[in-house]
Amino acid sequence: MKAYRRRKKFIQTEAIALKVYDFGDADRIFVFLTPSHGLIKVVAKGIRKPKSKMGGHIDVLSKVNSYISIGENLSNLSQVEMVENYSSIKIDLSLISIGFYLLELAERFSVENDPNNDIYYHLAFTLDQVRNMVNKDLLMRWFELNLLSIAGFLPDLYNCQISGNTLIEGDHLFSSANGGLVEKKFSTDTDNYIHVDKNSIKAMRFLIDNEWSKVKTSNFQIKNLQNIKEVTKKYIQTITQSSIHSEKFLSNVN
Amino acid sequence: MTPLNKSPFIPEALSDLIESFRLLPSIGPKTAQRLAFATLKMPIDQVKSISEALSEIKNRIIFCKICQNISEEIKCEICVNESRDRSIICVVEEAMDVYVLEKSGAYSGMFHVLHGSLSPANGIGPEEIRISELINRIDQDSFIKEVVVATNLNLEGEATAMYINQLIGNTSKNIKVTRLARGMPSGSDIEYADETTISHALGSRIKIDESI
Repeated sequence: MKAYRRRKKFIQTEAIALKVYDFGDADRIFVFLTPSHGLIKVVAKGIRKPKSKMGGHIDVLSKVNSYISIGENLSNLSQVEMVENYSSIKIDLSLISIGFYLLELAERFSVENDPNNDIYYHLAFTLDQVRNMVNKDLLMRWFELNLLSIAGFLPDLYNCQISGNTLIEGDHLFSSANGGLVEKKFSTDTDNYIHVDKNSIKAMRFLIDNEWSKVKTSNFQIKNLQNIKEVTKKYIQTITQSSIHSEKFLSNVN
Repeated sequence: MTPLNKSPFIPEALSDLIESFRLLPSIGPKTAQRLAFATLKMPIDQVKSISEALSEIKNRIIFCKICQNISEEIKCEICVNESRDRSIICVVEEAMDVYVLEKSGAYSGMFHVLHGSLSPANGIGPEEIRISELINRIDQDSFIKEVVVATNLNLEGEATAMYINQLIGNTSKNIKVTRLARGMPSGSDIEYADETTISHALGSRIKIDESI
């Protein structure tokens, strides 16, 4: 009987390499974020050998054009071509730590084989800004809030999550479990809530509603950005049900 | 198809051995099965010798107190060798890298093994690798004049090198921190080289008289 071999499926896609780990003797597994296929894990065969033709074309924190042979369990990276190496990020440890943080967040909010154009382009755009940025805290908060919005976890900053009332201008509490603000009168166990002052609330709304080009030219107070950081950190932790590993390194080097 | 090690026809002891072999790197289910059946065919003396060697490795191998390399003594052979250059430390990611550098015959200084590189996304930060041991060593040893960071040439290796450079810069010592040169591998064709390698190779070009 004639044996039929299943035809391999090849895809060509742009990708950002989010993560890598060693595999076998000389291979590596890359976790790619792609616009058309979401997260994909690909094996780059022999890439750890000095004579590998792919080695210099790909690393974590690089945008590539990839040719992937889709397998049943793992896919193989057949060819790869560097599109953007983000070399101006890679020469500065502080910027590298921001890069690692952004990549990890993008990975946590992406799903394997589930296309999400918006997360991909949001990450690619933000990485481009890391190179030119002046206020890295502002850029990270803008990235986090908009990533939450794209992924469907936009925090409700206009209505009380317990009473449903429209919030009046003033200080409120942020409840990660409820995904938004609650009125101060509902505070019984303050440990679960984060106090958010009215200017931080305004700043968060502004960050969510505006493009980076407008955000970067606006003035924000450091204490408001710190307040927002507290909110996003707790909220992301609640959604992902774990802490973001690279955050520790980020605060270590900055 | 049921994997062989899960098959009811395979005795439990054999399937346990297959599972154990699978824990090793580069060993897939087929190779594990082959190794397990090969072990079954071996004379009992050979099997005992393998088993003893495996358990001994954990009892006898420790980390050198100075360089963190694997050793059977408190101080490894390299650290007790008086003829080596004590003014220079080469920092590597893994113990295997020490042997690769030693094999080249081009280096006669001391080593420091980190046992990994910074990989924040995988939860490996400075506390998880032996960077603090390196900094303590530099603080206590006044002979050290240069630290060569020979971590891998990828983002994680670069981040580790930069972090070490930052920490050494924060100490009061005047120590030169260097990085392995980057460029074209021997025997390779320029035609296939990538932009990053080419730009590094051009950036660190040397006079023909100075090349080895």
